[in-house]
Amino acid sequence: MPNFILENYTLFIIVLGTLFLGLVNGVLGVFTVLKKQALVGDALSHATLPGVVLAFMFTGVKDMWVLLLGASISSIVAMLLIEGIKRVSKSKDDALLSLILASFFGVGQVLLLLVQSGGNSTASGLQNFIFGQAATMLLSDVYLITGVALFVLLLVFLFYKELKLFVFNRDYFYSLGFSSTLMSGLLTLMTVLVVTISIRTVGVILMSAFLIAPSVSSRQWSNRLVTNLFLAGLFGMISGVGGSLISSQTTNLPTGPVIVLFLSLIVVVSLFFAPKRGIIHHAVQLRRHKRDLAKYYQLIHLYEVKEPVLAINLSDVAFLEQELVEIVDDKVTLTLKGGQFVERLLRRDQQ
Amino acid sequence: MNNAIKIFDLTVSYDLKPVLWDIDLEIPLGALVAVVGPNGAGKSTLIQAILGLVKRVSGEVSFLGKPYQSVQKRIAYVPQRGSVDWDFPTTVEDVVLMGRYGHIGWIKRPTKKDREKVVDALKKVDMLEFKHRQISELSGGQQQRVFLARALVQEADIYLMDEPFVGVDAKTEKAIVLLLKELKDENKTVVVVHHDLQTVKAYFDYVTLLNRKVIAFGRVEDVFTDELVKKTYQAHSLIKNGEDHA
Repeated sequence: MPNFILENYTLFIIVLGTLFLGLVNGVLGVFTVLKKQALVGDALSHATLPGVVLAFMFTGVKDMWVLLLGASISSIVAMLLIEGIKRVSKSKDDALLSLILASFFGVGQVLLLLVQSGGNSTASGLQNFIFGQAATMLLSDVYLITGVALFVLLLVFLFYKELKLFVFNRDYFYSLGFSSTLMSGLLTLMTVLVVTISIRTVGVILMSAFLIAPSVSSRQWSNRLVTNLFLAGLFGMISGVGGSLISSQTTNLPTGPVIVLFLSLIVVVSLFFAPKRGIIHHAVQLRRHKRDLAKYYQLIHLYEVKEPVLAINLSDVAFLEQELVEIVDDKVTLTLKGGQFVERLLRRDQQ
Repeated sequence: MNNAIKIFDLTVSYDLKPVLWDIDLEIPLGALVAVVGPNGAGKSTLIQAILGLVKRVSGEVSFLGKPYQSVQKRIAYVPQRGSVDWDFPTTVEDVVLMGRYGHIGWIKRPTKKDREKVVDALKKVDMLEFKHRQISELSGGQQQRVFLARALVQEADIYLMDEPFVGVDAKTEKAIVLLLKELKDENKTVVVVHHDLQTVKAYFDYVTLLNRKVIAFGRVEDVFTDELVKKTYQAHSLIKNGEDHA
């Protein structure tokens, strides 16, 4: 398999590019999701479309740098618009984001149709921005992707401590003398950069899944932020490379949807099978709790209510043999061991 | 300058309706102050306005005779426990370490010394055995103690606490009270948003009766009278909007 990749120069480029795309999307997405801003990524990526088409209309060239510059300007305009409307209106955030997302995308689509109906044959490739196409990735695209990705990863590394606190507890972050405005701007800048380098490969429509899905999955497996960053990066890389390799084997199969298939598979597996947070684990736990509650309810009652029970009402004589309870003056009370036993039982319940 | 916090002419308003109106307060050094008032009285807003977390329409606040920016490191804030997502993937130690970030500054990493201070603070709130515990696995009282430990490692002179007693167990309540007294003995100034009128006399030595305006401020034995407390809570029924901006 590695030989096959190395032999095929085009595939090697695609793998390298999507590897970095997956990594940087996964890592940044952890913060986006924890900040509860999943929809922001979605709005920003949809908002890039008019910028791409306008950049092409004005310059007439399909140079990637020009198109992506248009894309990032367009998404920054959308972001400023969102913030501006928030300031003067009482509209709810999610409604506002959906609205901006849809209207920018709508305008982009109309512009795209205009350009294409103009009989401009060079405009054909622009269609790829909708669902993404990795197959036509050039070495220069990979330079751009790797450069921007490494820059964003460096920012995450440098500001790791600040990002963590800002996302966890913004007011407290501010009270320590840090600038929330600066941090908020940094997070937006990183999102715009990552969205911009990704849209050509993943497409503006499904872009946000690339940002969100890896961290939703990683959260299932780990309770540590650093581990979440690594896992999300890994999930992103697997999906990115897998999706682009498969889509480039066939003509006319866009890359975005295939990447999303990989992402979805990872999400489903994580949701069901993760230890501790997984659905299956929960179901098993719940059954165990029900069983234990039926069996030990009297011990729990003794522990919680601290009122002895008459000996004749002892629900299970086995408790005596296990030295969980003792009988004094015809009354059942918990032994020290019994108390610890119930505590363990209840603590397990909390987790 | 004997004042830890001096508030002059402070007004805060979200819309046209003022949440806090013309607040003047001079909190002396070493005071242990309860901020008491009905829901929607602006208790939490007062703390947030002092810290600059909400915009003031007017007013000035100074700490130890200086503006906020120049004494920021000497002020510790304990936000409401419910203001953060406790499902955040991190540990008790990590959250307490956040209290050192202000001293550490941008980009630099915590040192061994910072971690030692975390251990000391965790000991003080009796949470050392939970050092590596996931924060989502803590009880409400334990979460509160983690927040207090985080403020302690700031080694501040002024502490502003928003409802630290809400929803905590008896053990935590006792631990918090002990901590407050300890801070007071070290001549630190502590301002606590408090909701339980029963315990004001036992826990605090100063009280601010607040209902959008300062109804009264002074030593507990002087101003925490039936009459003034009644006035504080009645004033509320005169102002129709009972919305709590906490």
